Amino acid sequence: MFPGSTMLNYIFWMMMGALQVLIVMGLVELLKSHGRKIVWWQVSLIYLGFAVFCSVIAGGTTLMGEYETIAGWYFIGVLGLPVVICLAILARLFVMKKKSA
Amino acid sequence: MKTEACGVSRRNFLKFGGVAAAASTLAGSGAAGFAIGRSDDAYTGYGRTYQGADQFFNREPFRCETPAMMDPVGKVERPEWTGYLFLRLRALVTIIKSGEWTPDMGVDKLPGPVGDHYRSRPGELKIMLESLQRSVKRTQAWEDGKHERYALAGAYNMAYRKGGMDNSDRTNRIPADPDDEHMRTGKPVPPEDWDFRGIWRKKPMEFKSPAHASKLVKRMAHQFGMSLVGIAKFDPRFMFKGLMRGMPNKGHETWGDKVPKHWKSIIVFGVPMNWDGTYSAIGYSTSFDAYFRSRCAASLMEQFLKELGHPARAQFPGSNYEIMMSPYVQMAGLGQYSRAGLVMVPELGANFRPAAVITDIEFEYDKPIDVKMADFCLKCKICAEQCPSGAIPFDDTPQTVVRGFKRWRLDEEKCYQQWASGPTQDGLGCRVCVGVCPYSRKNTWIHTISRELEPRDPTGLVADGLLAMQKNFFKFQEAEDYRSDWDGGKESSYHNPPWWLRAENFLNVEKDWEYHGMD
Repeated sequence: MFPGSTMLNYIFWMMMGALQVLIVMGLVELLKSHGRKIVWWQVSLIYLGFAVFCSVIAGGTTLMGEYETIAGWYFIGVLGLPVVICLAILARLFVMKKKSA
Repeated sequence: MKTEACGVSRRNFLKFGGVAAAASTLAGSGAAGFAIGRSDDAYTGYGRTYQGADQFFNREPFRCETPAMMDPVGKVERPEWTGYLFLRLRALVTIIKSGEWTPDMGVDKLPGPVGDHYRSRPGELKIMLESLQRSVKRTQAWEDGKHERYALAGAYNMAYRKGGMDNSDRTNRIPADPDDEHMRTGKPVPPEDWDFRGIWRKKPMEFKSPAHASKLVKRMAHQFGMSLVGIAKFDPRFMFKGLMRGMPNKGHETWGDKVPKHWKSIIVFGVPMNWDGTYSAIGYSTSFDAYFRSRCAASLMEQFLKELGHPARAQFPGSNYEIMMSPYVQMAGLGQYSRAGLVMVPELGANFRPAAVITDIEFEYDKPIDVKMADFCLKCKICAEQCPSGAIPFDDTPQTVVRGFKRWRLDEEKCYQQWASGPTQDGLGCRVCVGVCPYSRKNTWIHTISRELEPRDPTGLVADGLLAMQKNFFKFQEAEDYRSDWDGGKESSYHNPPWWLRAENFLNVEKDWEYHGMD
């Protein structure tokens, strides 16, 4: 990530780790604000979907870094779309779904 | 109370902070991916080689008894020296230059073992003679203007070639070659002399065990700059007949099928060619960077073993061999035969340039591996589709029996025709099949996942998925487009050349060409 530096890589990944805590806590607050009960596996599933989407983005940009720009865009488009659809379904089911009367 | 004073509630902070963190994570993932793709660490063979870190694939779960396509289906025959393209080419040119034979006399009157070779392979002589004519055209094209476009690529190539590989006065070659010694002195230099030269110990040092010998020699191969190393028992089935460097006329008339008694083990090692150059084959690639490094290591390993009192003989590229290298690369557990006739290795794909040292040391030998690379070749065929000379077969399964083994057979004459037509000053190479092979990838995490998953998947679904991505996501050229413009092509390359090989970036040249590859 930071060629020539022996420190910045570690700092970068530590910051990324800290951001993940904020993401999960934000998700929990979002669910609460929608009046949803916090269910651990639902939070885990949504976060997993997000992590997979990040991996797809990283995979595509890795190919771009390897001078395979077109392959990188295809990678993001073809593999990313199903992940986005899955995330939308999860959001519909776990966040937006109306409570039964 | 404090949060209200600031106007931000804890809930809103976490909600909006979470969104911002998600956006940052996405951006960070993208940036990290790009940096990994372009990282120095992705260039296997040009980084952490000396610690042995290039040989990162764990082969142990994949050891087998017989490598792919090396189970005999008929009588196994040792190759004649004329089976080696460069030796028969050299012999053919010598015959033509001597005036003993001219092409208009036809193959029936072509004298000697080369004549026997071509008479048993109808049509191949015609292709080879065309290649010789193409070499003349290539030289002319270089002088007419290619020397500007390919100035840096050519200089990079020749720096290795003339910087120690091929010296016309037969001196200071790395490693020293017994044939040079014979040509200088006029005396025969048999392996019983040459392989022992310089040994000063009265008795060789004994290793604690064959396992100790293997461990040390492998570490030393890495220390001498080699990415991969494996050790096999010497198998004479893959040694040329009628070939022994150092003997008069390389032993063609006198050596026969003898095998030196002290040739017991073979240490095989090698490195990849520069990655970005290889992807920009034909014109901007060279084999000589890897050749040079593996030759240096062969020289160092040869001397290292002699310092310990053991005989050693280097086998090294471009053409200083008594053996066929590919079978030994397989037997040493480094890789598997491919459709293109090359041996592919898990870490480097087809981008592997080996050398070897033969010695009398008893080692703990490596077993071959089966990592399903050859199975992938059954379906892939990208190399065959991309080959500008049509030398790689499209057969679904190996069909040709070559000296007792059923395998895909590369049409060497057609392959060489493309070599002879390359745009740089000495031609010598194509490498399109190496560059486009899906296994020839740099060391990044997405390829690591593929590399580790695919051989462990018994269903073949992973291979199918990877192949579908390879064929649909990646942009390839038309095979003919790789050829030189004087040969009906566009001088395309798979990737565009790296910045440091583009003449227009550094030299006062007028750029009148376009790049057609991937950037």
